[in-house]
Amino acid sequence: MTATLDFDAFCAHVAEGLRLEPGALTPDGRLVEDVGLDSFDLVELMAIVEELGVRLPDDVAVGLDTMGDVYREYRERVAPGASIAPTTAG
Amino acid sequence: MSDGLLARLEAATAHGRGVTFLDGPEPEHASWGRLHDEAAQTAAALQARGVGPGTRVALLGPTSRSLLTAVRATWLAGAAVIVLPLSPRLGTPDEFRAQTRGRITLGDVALTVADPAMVDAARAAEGDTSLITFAELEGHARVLSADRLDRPADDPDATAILQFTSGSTADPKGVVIPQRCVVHNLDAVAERAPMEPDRDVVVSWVPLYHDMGLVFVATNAMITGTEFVLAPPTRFVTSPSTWTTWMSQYKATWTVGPNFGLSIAARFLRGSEGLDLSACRRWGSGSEPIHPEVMEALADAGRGHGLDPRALYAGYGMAEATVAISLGVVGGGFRADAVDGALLEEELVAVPAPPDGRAARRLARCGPPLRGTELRVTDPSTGDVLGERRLGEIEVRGPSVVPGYFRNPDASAAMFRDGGWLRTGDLGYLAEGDVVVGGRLKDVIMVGGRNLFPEDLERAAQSVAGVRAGNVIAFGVAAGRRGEGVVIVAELKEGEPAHVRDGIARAVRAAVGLRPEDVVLLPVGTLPKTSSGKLRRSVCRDRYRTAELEAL
Repeated sequence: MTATLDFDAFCAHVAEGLRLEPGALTPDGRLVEDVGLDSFDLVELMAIVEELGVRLPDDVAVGLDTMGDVYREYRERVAPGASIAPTTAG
Repeated sequence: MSDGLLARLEAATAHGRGVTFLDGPEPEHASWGRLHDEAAQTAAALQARGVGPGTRVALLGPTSRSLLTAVRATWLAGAAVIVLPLSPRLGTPDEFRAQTRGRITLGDVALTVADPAMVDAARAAEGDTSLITFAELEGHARVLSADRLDRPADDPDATAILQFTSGSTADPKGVVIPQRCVVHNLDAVAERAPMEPDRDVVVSWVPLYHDMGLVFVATNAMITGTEFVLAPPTRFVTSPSTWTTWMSQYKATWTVGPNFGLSIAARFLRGSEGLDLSACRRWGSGSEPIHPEVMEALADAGRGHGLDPRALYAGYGMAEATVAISLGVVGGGFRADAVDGALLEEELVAVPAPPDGRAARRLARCGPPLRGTELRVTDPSTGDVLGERRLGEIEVRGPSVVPGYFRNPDASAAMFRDGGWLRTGDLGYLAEGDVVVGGRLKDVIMVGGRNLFPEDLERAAQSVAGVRAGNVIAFGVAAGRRGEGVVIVAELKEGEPAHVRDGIARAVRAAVGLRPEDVVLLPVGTLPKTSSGKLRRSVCRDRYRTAELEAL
């Protein structure tokens, strides 16, 4: 996949990969505490992001807290310099 | 070769190979000779702090040059090593501290060497003098010459490793692994998954606190002097494509990982281009239940990158047998055994079935037992030895089987049947000489004369949306004439509890044809698990019986 996804499409793609209900992922929902991802889910999440063509450095990856964080890192690396304006998710 | 562990370490520097450490910002290479000299100096520094034969050293830190050197130094000083697990990413600091302190206390260690970021978890009290950092130890080592080391005589019975297992059903116990067991087991492994310094390149991210990472990979590379690319598990976890990338970059010939890691590797191989895995000649799966479909997906996806499918193999083992019990033979490739699932459950017989048939249950063939390891399958209740393709408890005997658990005579005695047979607690059978593992003995659920494997029920339950993957426990409870009824306890990630409960009941019924007696949903983080994340089924069952689970 090469096109840059907007926030909703990004979340839908991740939710499908992690087998979450659509809408489970929100910009401010914390991945572990709120969404309830476990360590295998987090490896899976990183795998999904890598499959979208973005490899995050270790120190960035371990610091990700919310889906908004993940999307921001994805967006910065997939399209450097692009303005970050995630659309609101349900 | 019949030399002892220390003599092997010394001889292995002669091949001129070394280690590439991938924990820093740039890869760092050091020869085994250089690392050995550093370890000898470090060993002298350890001895200056009272470490020697008959003592134990605990190490707590991420995979690094310091950690690998400290393992080697501990052996050169004559002591046994305990490599402590790191904090689980999702665990609390209090749990981590309790687990770490518990193991240091139980291990009665002479010295703990810790990463500066982790000393708080290891410290007994302010001013604890049996605790230093890797930097302090290395600082001391640098001012000592290696000839200050009082090199102990090789002692095959000296303990090399105290390996803390995280038994799913009991509190952690330290497996005593003598040097003679390490040498024997790795010599036998060398016939199935050889590491040869003149041709092999080993790539691994398996943690050193795990017996597969410490013994099967790192110690093996150390005593053979094979070229070794060592990555911290965090690199793989935060960037899962790295494993196959490293394998391609370093022309890896030898690697191993758990089933989930292989499953991720297969995905990346499918989606990427330009990797070269043609050098790989041994790629193993071990340490967790092996799914045939994952091995087949990896073989499939790897073909486009030059991976020889014959390199893939499944392995079976445990710390109580040093590390490996059986491994697939060289050049054989991975093979599954397809059997009639109903007959396996009801009659405890593994009758071959068409692999694609509805009744088939496919299990990984883990190869024949290693040389020197005798293996038999017994009826768990009578101890009677069972024949080919009869399901029972796997028992092993031989020079790789350890003497017991550290300072725990009761648990050590319970490990064995008469004649020195180690009871593995695993259910399995022998098929044309191959070991096939079907589950854990204690967890088997008997319903209406059928034996259900909790893993299968759990897999079905976690396929339901809203259930937190990996956080499902299935067990049996007495249920009148049916024998046992199935209870599913699962963590609810999201969704309407009644809806999810219904989904689980339907998924379990679809998988095994039985409706669960009960489905209990728990809040995230409350399912009983060990510190290393393994499910504690018997604890869960006890809490269910005494109504101690806080159901949603």
